[in-house]
Amino acid sequence: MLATVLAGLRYRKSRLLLSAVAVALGVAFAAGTLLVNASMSASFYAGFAVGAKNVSALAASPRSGNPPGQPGGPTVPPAMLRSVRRVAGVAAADGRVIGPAAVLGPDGRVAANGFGINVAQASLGGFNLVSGHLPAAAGQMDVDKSTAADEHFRLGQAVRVVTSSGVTRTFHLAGTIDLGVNAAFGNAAVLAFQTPVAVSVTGQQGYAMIVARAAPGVSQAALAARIAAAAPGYEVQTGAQFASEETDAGSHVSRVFSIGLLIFALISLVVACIVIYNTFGILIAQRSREFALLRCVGASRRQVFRGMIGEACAVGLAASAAGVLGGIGLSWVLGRLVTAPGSAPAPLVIQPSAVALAAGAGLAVTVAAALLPARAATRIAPVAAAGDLSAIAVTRKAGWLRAGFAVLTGGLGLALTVAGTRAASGTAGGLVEIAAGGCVFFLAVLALGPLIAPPLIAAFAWLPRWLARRLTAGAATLTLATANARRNPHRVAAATAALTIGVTLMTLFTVVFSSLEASTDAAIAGHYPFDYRVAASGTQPVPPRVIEALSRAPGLRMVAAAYRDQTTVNGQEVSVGAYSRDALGTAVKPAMVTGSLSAIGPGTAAVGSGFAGGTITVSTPDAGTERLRVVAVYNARTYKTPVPGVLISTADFIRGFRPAGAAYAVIDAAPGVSPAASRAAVTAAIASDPVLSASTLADYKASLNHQVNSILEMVGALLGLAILIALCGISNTLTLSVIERTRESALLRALGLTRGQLRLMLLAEALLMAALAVLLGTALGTGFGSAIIDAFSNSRGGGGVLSVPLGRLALYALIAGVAAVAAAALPARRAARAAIYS
Amino acid sequence: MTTNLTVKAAVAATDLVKIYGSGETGVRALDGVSVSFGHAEFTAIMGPSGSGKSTLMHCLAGLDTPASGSVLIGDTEISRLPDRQLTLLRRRRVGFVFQSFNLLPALTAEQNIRLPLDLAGRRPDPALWHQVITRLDLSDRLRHRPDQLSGGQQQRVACARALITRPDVIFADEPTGNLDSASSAELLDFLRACVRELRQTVIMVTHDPVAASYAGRVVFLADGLISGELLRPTPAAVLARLGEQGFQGA
Repeated sequence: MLATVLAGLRYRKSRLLLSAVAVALGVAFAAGTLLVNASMSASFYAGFAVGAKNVSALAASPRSGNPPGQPGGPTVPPAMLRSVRRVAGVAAADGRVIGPAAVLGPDGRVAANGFGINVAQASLGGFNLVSGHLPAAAGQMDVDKSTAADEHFRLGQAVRVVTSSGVTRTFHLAGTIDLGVNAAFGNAAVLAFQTPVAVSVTGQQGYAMIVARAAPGVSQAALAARIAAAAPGYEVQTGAQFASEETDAGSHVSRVFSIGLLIFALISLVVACIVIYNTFGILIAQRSREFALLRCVGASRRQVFRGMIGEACAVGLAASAAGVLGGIGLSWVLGRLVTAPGSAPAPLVIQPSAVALAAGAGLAVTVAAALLPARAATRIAPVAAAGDLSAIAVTRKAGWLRAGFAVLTGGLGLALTVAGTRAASGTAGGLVEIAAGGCVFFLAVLALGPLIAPPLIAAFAWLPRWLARRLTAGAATLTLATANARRNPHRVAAATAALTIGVTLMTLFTVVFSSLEASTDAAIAGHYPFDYRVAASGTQPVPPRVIEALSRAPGLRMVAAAYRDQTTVNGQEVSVGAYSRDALGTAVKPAMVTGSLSAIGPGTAAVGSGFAGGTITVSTPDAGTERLRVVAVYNARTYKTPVPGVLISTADFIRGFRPAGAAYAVIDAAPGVSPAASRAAVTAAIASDPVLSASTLADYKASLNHQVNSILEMVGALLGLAILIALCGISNTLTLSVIERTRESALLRALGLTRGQLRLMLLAEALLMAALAVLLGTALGTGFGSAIIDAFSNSRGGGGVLSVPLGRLALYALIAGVAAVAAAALPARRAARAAIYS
Repeated sequence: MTTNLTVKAAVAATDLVKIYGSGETGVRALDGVSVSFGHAEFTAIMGPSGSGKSTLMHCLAGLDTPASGSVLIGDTEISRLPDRQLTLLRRRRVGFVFQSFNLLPALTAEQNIRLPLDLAGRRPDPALWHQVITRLDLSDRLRHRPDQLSGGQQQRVACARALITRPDVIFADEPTGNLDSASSAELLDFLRACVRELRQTVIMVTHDPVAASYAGRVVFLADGLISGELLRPTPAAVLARLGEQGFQGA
């Protein structure tokens, strides 16, 4: 049987090629994703070696939310450094200073926001020198190499730096440094100074951490134990613990990213599975006479089944091998795409387990897709070998079983979805139920496909046929195309199912993201309206003198300072904030549950829904607590709300949290003042402070929604692959149909159909299939997208706005149509080339 | 030659009934056919279109199941055999030659001939292989694919495939239907030689009186019933009998 299988594969290699391409694309994507993940993890580990270099042990203040080394976290007083240095077994120790600092560009505005650090002694600074030298004088500094590259800094050049207190100072660039991969800094600019300079630039009260190197013969654990004894109340880690903790933080980002990619790889594999299922199904229909003959000469059902599965295995293996090679190439490209400019790309790691997993998935998908067609092949009666070929190609009728299954799964899917939109209290806000409901409902669509495809295609064809009849051209061709597209509903339904999945997901993501955007816009415009918003470009505060300058500026009606901090309220981690009185109820008017914001005063607070009781206990940074009476409750669960979980009076906030300045300021222009005049007044008031910038409501919305567009683009690119695989399926189906209809095409040509008309017929057939997929996909995507928005809105006490971007959806339909025509091009050429006689 | 009922037949059918469809619209393709075929006999089954000759052959060969009646191949009652036993029967005891050759396009001539043995995991008997290949003049065609062979050559490959398992009986369904007269004569000569030299039993369905004249006996079928038989037929005698039948049917 093996010889028969191999001979059959060689004979039909061109017919199997397209389905193999579908599997190979899916495998390539999966392998690429897994390999990128492996490469990125490896580079995170390598990168972290920089931060923990020479560090045997470190001590930091017990964390309260922020890990040691994170800017804004608790600091270690300099006296503690002296105690650590006296510990036996410490060869060298120094403190690391980390705090806010910003670099100015040539235009005098902030070019890159970031951190200032110190150069610790004894190579304990946590970075490597790349070029130049370390700062040798108070007027020198080093900058991280990617910032230096981005801003085109040259060594020796004068660079202006804004300190944490807003003062601009000039330093000469002495060198560039590499910090490796450091979760604390991310992609921000990092400036390194001599320690006293670093302290004054960043305004830190102490060290972020104290790092120590062990003397020879002293283990990390022993050193950490001794330091812990000398520094009671501080958190002490070994260098190894520090390294692995930081690496985990870093690789968490890459893990979330690669889980996302894997979901898309899974979608591609599912689509490839549908494509190859259809291909095997068609091939078996075409070869039924061959199977009948095999049965005639004594092949058992099992032998026929094994032969088919053997064929699937061979195709799956070949496609997976090609896919793995493609995946290695893809991961190389992806590795370069996700690497920040300036830093070296992660070295390519070819992990055998990742390769095996992707290839195994490809093989499993192919064989699984062949199971049902192979079973169908065993059902072919031997007597068919003697009969007429045309009598064998029987189209199965869509049975009651199918309809029953569709009704059952459709009902279950809808019930789950409705439950999901109601399950506002669930942790994922009903998303899990809706996702499950969507998958189950899609089964119903798959089952119903053969039933609904013919009438829908007939309906689609009506308009072009009406037009063609009006123009008295091509009507016959279109009639033929429609009849062809309808004649094998199972085949058409399976060919379009793959494309339907792609279009559904694209539509779903588009509807969800654009609705989130619309909801944000509506919430901002309705509850937090302002004319201008002044904020620093980093985490730095807006100094009180700027607020005063704005208050004195002409043409402005209201200038309100907004304060923010993180703290615990009633034992719950929450954001707490305060606004100037005149902003409450005007620039800040969240949906109120009870009371009014104007009731907030010293000793009272307004809280977001979720806090019970008439009083709250707020912890302040100096370990004190404030008991405040609740006078109002508002809805703080709106998407991307700028309102904190607890609102207190400005007086209480300044007393409790001692802010260096406001988080931002919101400004309204006085009535009758032109936008140009008010804008000029705001700009003039903040001109002295290079870190500050003013944005309008439109700018602010755009900055909040900036991510939405980039997420949509990325999702679109990833789903594009699934759609490409689906188009392979349509192309494959058409090619096989063309082969099947060779005699029929010859007859049509003999009857006077031109080559062009024959081509047009196939293009029209492909377009009808694409139209079916687009219609189903758009309907499903919009339906389930709005269900998600509904659930989202319910879980946040309303405020969700459904937005269906028709223009974008029309664009998807257009792309699908063009792609379908492209998919039909090759089969159409083949059909038109065939001889008239045969 | 006389039909001796005490000698056990190679293939025998008793009261075969086959109905297509059901109820009032059902068509009785076979309406109680009893017929037997002796060992090493070459029998032709003839009859007009729709007379049930193909159905009879399918039932005799175990490709189709009769509604009632029995079919014996040797000692085996095959009309009620399960699929597995039928598969083994087709593999070991029955050979087929079809009108449209029915070779697997992906396999070479040699692979096609060996296919039934490969399916059973057996090797061909070298003496028989040599005899069949030489007699059918296929030695220099073994590596060719079906699409590289003429119609006559393809049908000879199909014959070799049917013979190579030494079946109890070979069923030939209009084997000359797609051949020119020279290839037809060659093939029929060969089938007759198989019966004489290899003591092979051959049952052939045909509508061609010339082809039927190569057989030792012709069985006539009309409206699902045996309507007569002719021993040592000549084309003229067959034609005359068919004419009579057509007249009777009119």
